[in-house]
Amino acid sequence: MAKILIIDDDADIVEATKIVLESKGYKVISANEGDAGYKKAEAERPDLIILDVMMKTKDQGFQVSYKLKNNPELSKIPILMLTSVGRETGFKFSKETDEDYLPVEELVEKPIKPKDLLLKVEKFLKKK
Amino acid sequence: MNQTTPLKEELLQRLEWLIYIRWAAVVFIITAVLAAIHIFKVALLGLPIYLIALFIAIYNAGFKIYLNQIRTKSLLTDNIRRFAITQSMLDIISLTIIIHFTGGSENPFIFYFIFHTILTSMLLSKKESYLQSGIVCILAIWLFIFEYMGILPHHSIKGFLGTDLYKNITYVAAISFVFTSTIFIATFFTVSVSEKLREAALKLLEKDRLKDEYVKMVSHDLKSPLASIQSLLEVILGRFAGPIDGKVKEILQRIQKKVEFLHHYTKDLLDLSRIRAEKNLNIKKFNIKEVIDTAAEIALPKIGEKEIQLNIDIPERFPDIEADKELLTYVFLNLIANAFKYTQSGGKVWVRLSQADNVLMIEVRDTGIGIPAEDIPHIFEEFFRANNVAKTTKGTGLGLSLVKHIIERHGGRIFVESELGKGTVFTFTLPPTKT
Repeated sequence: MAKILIIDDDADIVEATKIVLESKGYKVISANEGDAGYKKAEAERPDLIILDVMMKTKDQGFQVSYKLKNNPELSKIPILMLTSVGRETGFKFSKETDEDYLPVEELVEKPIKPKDLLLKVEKFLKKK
Repeated sequence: MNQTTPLKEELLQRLEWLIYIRWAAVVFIITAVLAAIHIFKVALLGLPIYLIALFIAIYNAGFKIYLNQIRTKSLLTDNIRRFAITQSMLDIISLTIIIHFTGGSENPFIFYFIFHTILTSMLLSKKESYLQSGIVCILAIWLFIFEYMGILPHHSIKGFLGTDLYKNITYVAAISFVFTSTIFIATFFTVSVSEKLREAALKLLEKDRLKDEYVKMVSHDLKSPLASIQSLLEVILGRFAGPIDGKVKEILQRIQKKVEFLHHYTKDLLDLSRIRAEKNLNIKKFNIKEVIDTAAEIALPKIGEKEIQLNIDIPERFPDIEADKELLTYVFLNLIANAFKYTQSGGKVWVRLSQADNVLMIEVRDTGIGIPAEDIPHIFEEFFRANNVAKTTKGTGLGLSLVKHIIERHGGRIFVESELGKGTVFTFTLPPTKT
């Protein structure tokens, strides 16, 4: 079964996401901060990464996504970015303006409904 | 697209006001001269005065055109102030020439200079205001003395004042003193009042900014834990964490509803403070239909069980518009979602676009429950909710105030018409797009 890495500093979000994903048999690993998450991605080679935006810094999630996509060995892993912030980090979250800017497959605002989360995960894993 | 700071906007508005007053002055000068000559039979030299009135009219028209132009450019406040000084100087010179042709020191209308002094002192800085008053007095006194000494010819207003007061040195000295003191006292009062007002306005702006900052911080800090609570609730309600029985489920659903409301509330607050704090709009050229379609797409699922017909009416080959796309989506989303929310099943919602004189008119109309007449004046106020919906439907009362803010930031205006039980129309305008 596919392996999914959750990188989020909110233990409750990690827990909630984990329960939902595990119910469908996915193997879930997690990291509570960006750098640790990147290292885990290198070591574990997950099939999908669920990434938070604001962690140690306001935009750590963005930086981690750039790092992941710049690493040829990890660049193929799809990233589903979750955020509870809007425009205030200085990034405009609208597809047409920032698609080139943001190297993630999709950006979703928290909270995401379990049904939607599973649908998106399935979609990205299929594409892969 | 207009993007102005409140202070600059105020300065521009005052300049516009000054231009209106100048038109009135032109009309007044011409009527007064016509009346003096033809009704009161005063021997006045009409032609030079008409020529000056024409001169004022010409430069005023020039200022009007220039003002329209600088509204669309990002000019510095200093440049606008310089523009105000130019206007004021031309006014002073024109008025002095008129005084010269209408009796010089004998003309009691010289005291009309006080209006000019008050008006421009409101616009200029303290130093500029006193300098301007100094120039006014020097020009007037020169005129009086030159006429007294015969360097300039004196145009007496026969039929109005018979005596040759302008040759009376005591009179010339007295009128010069009274005139100068009047002008300077008027300047002093105007400058002190307008300085106080300016300071108060700046303080208010700063307080408002701090409030926005504070609200933004608090709502942001509230939003993240709320998202976690919602996620955990979803897990339980979706039975991912094990079975739950009927009563527990019902209670959890109630909690979920309240949390959802809180989430929307903090989100609206965050949007409001963020958009208000944003200094620049992200202006882009785009097709307005896309924005309306996106907004409708997001709003439609919120209708729920209701059956409401949505008509979007955009004229063919409608030109692209220039605006902040994200914010305009927010405007449409809010207006369309509101229309859906307050319209019963079987009702209709229209979005109509038209263009008149290059100004874009957008109308969002519904056949909903309407807004009580006494609530209409408050409908765009922050946190205000109309009487007929406050208890029955959930809402934060922030959406429309943000809609108004966004439209005004774009240089547009929004209006509402509503009849209880029949429906509501929100109409807003957007200024012309530069081609």
